[in-house]
Order: sequence, then structure tokens, then C-alpha cells
Amino acid sequence: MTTEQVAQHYYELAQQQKWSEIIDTYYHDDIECIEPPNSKSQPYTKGIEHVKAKAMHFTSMIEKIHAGYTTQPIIAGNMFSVGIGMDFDMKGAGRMKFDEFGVFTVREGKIVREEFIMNWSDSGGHEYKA
Amino acid sequence: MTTQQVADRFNELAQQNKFDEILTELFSADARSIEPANAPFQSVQGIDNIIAKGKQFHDMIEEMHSAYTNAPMVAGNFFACTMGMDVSLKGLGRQQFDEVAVYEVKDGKIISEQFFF
Repeated sequence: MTTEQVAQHYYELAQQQKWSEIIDTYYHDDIECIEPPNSKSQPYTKGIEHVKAKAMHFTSMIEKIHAGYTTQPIIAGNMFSVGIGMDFDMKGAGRMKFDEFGVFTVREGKIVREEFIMNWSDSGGHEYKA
Repeated sequence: MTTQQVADRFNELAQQNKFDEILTELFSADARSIEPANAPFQSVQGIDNIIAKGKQFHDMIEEMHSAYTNAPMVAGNFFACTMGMDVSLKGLGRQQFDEVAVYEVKDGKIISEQFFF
């Protein structure tokens, strides 16, 4: 599978909010995940089980999603990038919104690395750390 | 200018290879340029340092065979685009690379650029 095919399918699954399926289908066992300093998740996670646990923890903190989007992917060699945003209520922390770009590196049809750049807004001054 | 407008102007100038104009017109004076760990260049802050870093790279170019910048995608106050070049560098031979560049916009100016390759 080419990077373009992985990116396109990632986009299609993201449109349907099928994040678990993305992880199960496309993440390499040794996936590396790098979060920015202002992320509410762990800065560095390696291994599919840890990345899954991180994703599930984040999902479990969501009370209600008001809106969300994923942009069409852009491709450069063996990397692709999508913009992702969500406006949601987090349990105990109120309504917040983030926009981010995820940059994904593909090797032999699997995502081996993901790195994010993000911004939070309208968080009402609440802080939450996973 | 909105992030979308900055992104559109960026793309317009990039398609004309007017990268100097991108820096002088769209970057804030204290913008940061963040390179990945495997980059031959260091991350710098300040428009003068970013211009100097660009010049340092240009001085290394022996021959530019081809280059591209694709249309940007916007998410919140970020925009990202993919770019690449096929270039012969002095003493290093011919190299091809592709990268993703993510730009953060505040008050109509680019306050950071971050590269992934």
C-alpha cells in the first residue's frame, strides 16, 4: 500500500470517527507517537498497546462532542498530514476546543510515527492533564 | 488577515518561488523556525536568523533540478503544505527530499514554521 492509499483510507475512516479501526488497521506494532509540549497527553508513547491505551483514555474523558473535523490529507514522500479539530466537553473540565496537524510517517503500508502540533482555545482557563 | 488568507498568499508567493517575500511579508519579527532532530540545520528564532539560515542553504546549492510546493491545508490557526526538491548540493551530490511544513499564524503573521522530513 502506498502512502497515498494509507492517507486516503485514514481520511475516510476519520470522517466516520473510526479511530480504533485506524489504529488496528494502519498502526505499526512499534508506532512512535510524539505530542507537543501543550498537549494534554503523554509527550512520547511507543508501541501500539500504549498508543491504544492513550487514545482510549482520551476518549473516556470526553463527555460530549459538539463538532469535529479532519481535513483532506496532504502527501510528501512517505509522510502525510491532516488537520484535525474538536470542540467538546471534557469530564470535569468543561468545554474546550483544539486544532492540530498530525504528521504521519508510513513504512510498508503502516504508520510508524505520528507527531502533532496543536493549539487550544476557549478552554475557559481550565487545565487538564492526562 | 485570516489564517486562510495568509495561507493563500503564502501559496501564491511560493508558486512564484518568492520565498524571500514570504519571509519579509508574512513572517513576524520574532518567528521561530523549528527543524526536526535529523536536520542539517538548527532551529532558530527571529526573522534575521531565519533569513540567514535560508541564505546558508542557498549557498550550498550547486544546481536545482526541480522543486515543488503544494497547496496549503488550514486547521484553526495553522496551515500546512508539502514541499520538496531535487537538488545538487556542493560536495554532497544530488539529493531528493520531501517534507511537511506546518505554519502557525497569529494576528495575520506567521509566528512559527515547523518542518518534518
